[in-house]
Amino acid sequence: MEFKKAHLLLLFLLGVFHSTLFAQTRYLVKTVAVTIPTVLDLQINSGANPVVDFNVTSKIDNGIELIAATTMTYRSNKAWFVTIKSGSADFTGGVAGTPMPASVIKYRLNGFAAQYSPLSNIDQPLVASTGSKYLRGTGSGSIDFQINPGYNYPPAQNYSLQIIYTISNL
Amino acid sequence: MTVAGNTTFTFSTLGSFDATASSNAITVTIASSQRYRLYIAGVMTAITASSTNTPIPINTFTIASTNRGTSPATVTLSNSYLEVAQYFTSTTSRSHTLTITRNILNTFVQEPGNHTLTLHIRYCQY
Repeated sequence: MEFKKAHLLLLFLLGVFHSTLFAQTRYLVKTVAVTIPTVLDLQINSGANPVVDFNVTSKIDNGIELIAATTMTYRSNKAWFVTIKSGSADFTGGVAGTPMPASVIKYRLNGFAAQYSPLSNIDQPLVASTGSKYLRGTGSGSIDFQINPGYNYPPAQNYSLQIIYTISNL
Repeated sequence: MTVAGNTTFTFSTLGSFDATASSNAITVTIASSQRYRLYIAGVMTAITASSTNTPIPINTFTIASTNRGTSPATVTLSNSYLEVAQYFTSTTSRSHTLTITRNILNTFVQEPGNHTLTLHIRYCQY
């Protein structure tokens, strides 16, 4: 009986030895290159062309506030910020000789308690700033507007102003 | 065991970050005197050295092998060896085409520049 056990053990060890002797392992290394370009992407999702109609006197008295009038999505793999400015110093349209300035429109980032800032044709920080950028990634936000021309400008139906948003990593 | 094939991923359009795309294939050719298994593991590094840099997650990549035998159809790459093929017969020259798929990468938290994925391929007789 003991001899049979020893015999089986020997056969087992020989089997292990055989596998160890002839089994093989090989390694290879392959390099995969992934090139990521710089991305700075800004999309307007809604409210690209808000329309403001002062159709009752109370609106002229108090101005019109548009909450979350324009929503945007940002995507950037560099540290980034967004600015806002008007396309010109004054609205187009209206009556010649009495231009309505861009500052009639005031803006702020929705969700912040900050005061409204008057729009101008000079870039102003909207989300983060050149000296305090947001880290790379994705995000979204919306903008509140307050439009209050008062009684300072002649009536017209064709006042128009371009608003320019710029995302930058500079 | 030898390996050959082009393995470069680029992003030609903004939409390509959202898409499951850019499959590249490499071919591993095996000569084996007995049954064997193939394993693969990956290590992701970025050339750009920055404290804010974030490597591409290794599980962005999946691997599928031809002649895989009883191995899984698709393996999500990790830094541990995972089996991609198991063959029960010997061969003088059997090719396993490993298709490497780069999946969605639209978080934009990786620094632009060159990132390198090093694939470690292991062949084992058993």
